[in-house]
Amino acid sequence: MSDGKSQGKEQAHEGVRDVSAEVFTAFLAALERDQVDPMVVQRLRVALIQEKTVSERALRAAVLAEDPSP
Amino acid sequence: VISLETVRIQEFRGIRDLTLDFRGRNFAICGNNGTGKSGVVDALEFALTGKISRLAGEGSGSVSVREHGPHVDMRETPDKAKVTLEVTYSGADARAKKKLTITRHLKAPTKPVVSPKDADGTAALKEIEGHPELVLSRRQLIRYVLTSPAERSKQVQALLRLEQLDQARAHLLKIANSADRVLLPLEDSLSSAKSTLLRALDIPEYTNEAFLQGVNAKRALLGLKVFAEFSPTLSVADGIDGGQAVSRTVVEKRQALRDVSALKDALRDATEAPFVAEIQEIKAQIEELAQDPVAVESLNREAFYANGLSFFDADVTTGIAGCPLCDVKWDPAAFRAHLTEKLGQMRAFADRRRKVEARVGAVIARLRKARQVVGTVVGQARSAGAMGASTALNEWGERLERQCMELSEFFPLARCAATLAIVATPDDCIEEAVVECERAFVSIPEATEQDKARTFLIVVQERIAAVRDAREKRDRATVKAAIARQVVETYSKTCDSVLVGIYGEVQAEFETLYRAIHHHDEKAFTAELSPSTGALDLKVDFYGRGRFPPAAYHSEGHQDGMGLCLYLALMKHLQGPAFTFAVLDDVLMSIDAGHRREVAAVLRQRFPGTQFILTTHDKQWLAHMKTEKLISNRSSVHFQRWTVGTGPVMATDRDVWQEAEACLQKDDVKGAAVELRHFLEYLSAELCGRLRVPVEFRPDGQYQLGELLPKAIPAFRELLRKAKAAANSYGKREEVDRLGAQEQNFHAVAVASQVEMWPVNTAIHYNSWENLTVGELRRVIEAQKALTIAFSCVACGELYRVVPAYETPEVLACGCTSLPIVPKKKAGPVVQPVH
Repeated sequence: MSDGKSQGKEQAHEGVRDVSAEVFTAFLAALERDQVDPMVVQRLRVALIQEKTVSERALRAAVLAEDPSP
Repeated sequence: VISLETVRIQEFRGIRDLTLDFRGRNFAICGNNGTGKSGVVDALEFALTGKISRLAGEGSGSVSVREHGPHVDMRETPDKAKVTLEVTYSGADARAKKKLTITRHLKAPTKPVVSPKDADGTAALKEIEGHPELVLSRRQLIRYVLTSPAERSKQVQALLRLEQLDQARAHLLKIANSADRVLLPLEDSLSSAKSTLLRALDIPEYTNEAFLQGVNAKRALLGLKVFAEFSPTLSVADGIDGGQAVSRTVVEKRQALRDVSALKDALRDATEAPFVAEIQEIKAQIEELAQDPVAVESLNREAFYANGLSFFDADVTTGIAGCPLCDVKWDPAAFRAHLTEKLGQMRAFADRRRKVEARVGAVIARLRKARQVVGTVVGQARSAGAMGASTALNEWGERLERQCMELSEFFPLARCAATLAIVATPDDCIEEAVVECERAFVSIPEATEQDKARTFLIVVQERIAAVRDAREKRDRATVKAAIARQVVETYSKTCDSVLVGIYGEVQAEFETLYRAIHHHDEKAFTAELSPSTGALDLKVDFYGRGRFPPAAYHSEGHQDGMGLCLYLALMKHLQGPAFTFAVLDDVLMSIDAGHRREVAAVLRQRFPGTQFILTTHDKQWLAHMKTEKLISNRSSVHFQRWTVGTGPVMATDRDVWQEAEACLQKDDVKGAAVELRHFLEYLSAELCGRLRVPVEFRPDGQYQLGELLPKAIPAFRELLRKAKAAANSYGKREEVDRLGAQEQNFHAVAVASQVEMWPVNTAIHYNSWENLTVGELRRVIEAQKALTIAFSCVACGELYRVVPAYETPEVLACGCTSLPIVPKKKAGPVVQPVH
């Protein structure tokens, strides 16, 4: 199993390096490795990688499974 | 991946109408201060990003791009102010290069006109818009070096686009902390529910045995099946009323008396002297905060800014990047930095607030406990017919609920203080209600043992359900809190690990670049770039004496070099192959001539895929760029002068031979002579420096051409001879032949130039050149040109130099090869050891 850092590097492409994406990818891999609830990991993946948001509301919804609507 | 082809600047800053042809290559703009160089830099930055760094940030005051970007005479017609940039870029297919024209008007900085309209081109521009660091001035460069670790961290984080990482860390930490905070009231609630159950069971401490003993005794009395063992899902009221839904219709006297006793305890707790004193202290602290207008303003604004940040973050994800209050468009990073700075200023008040809030939390816990007991007694009072007491207690319970909510909200401070003033002073009617309840419960007739047993089991079952419910809520919250904590800890660990890795790579690259520039004097240079929360410390080696901050011992020139190297290392790391251009605005003004040459070599050799646009006020630096082949002769311009009306007056920087020939074409012998003389003065000093030619030292540095060039010729001839001898010693016949030919050619052109005759023949001095005919001077120029070329490598065109520049010479080097000048050591006779 590769470590978080190398998994993060896999994210890098030939253009401008996206350090944030590297960290987020490594972070999600570490959560999976630590067997954190897969639903939490999936929700974080959607927020951080797909929707590219780090807003408190989105992360709260992802981590605590709380309804993000106000 | 973009390279700059041409730029046309119209009515922009100090420029009226200027076109520069970069041709996708490195390019230099040379001119004295105030000739318009930085206007070109501003124009490039504006065309690419819509911003002008010099008109933003600290000290820029009320200056703005829209208002002060147009030429001063065009303030009334800013629509004429624009920059048009032609670039070459490669999109998805890196091999296919396309042309793109970007026109940006000052009246609409955020709406560039891109032609042709091409998704890849627009995407490429969008990418660059996010990288204003492609334009670097000295002011920006020193931010990487001469700054506090926290400020450096900010700069580097901004360059590496790490703002998101800090935001995510802060938010995840906040989420974990808030998840922890939820646990406390839930624990309190569970604890109260357990106490209530224990009172129903009439046991001081819970054990499964005590529980079963109490329950089974009652069930046996009712003829119900007893439980052999405890189970978490046990329903103690099972079987009562033939399995029909059970409801509590009677009050069990002793149970009710125990509950009212607990209520009296809670009432006593809420009014005891230490608790009252504690409340008074907290209230005084809150009133102190409330009376400090600065604190109130700060605390109110803190909440306002924190909310603003939260709304903004939510909006950014939906593509709206504007102030949530006034809808003004903002750059997300700038807006966050703006609000974060304001929040930082309020940190002192926020800390005071948090300390007071923690004390208020303990008060809330006690009130919640009382609320639970009140709720238990209210139902019993109603069932026992004490309707007045039930109503009064119910109102008190609701009041406690409201007080808990008001204290939790904390704001407004006046309300919080007012609530604290009454929490320890329940109405007199409450004590009366308690007395009434007690009286009512005492007067309850003793029920039969069967009724008592039945009520006991129903009450216990109810309270078990309450405990289960409280436990379930607590457990769910505990799981969430544990996950939230694990998430933030994993995030911090991963983030630190990745960043430490990245900073390690940047550090290694920084060291390599700096050593390349300072290989003469700091070839063992090392550095340490160590990140910690919110800071990035930089320490550098000082000649093996230890590691210190860059400003501690290194000169200003060395610090500038460090800034440039750190910038280049970061850019190489961040942009990788996409680091295709950078604008360096007079960034090396403090670096001495010797090291600038090395800088030029580093830029050329280590960043072959990057197009550098450089500005300088120093002609010698421009000459170094040319001799190091960083720029070609046609890739530079001179800004000779500047006026408000004309903008920069430009002279294309042709090479000396073209300039001299242009003069001769106009019969301007004197002009051609001056061109040649100035160039040879520069060249002779450069050659003596590169070839380490011994010359008589002049403290004022004012060397005559005749003192230098005639000595460079025999010195180079001797170096070629040594290189040939060394090649021979290594058995490299082809090299020997090639060097032999080169030596002969050099000898021939040197003789033709007559330079070596300089000390003994004044007729060949440059003073006499002015008296020559055009044809005669042209022959002199051709001879000097041939000599200049003979000092250079045929393959790469670079002037040869001796390496190392200090200590024992080892090789004769150019941009493409290194020729040893020290022969191979012969194997000596075998020496017999002496015993």
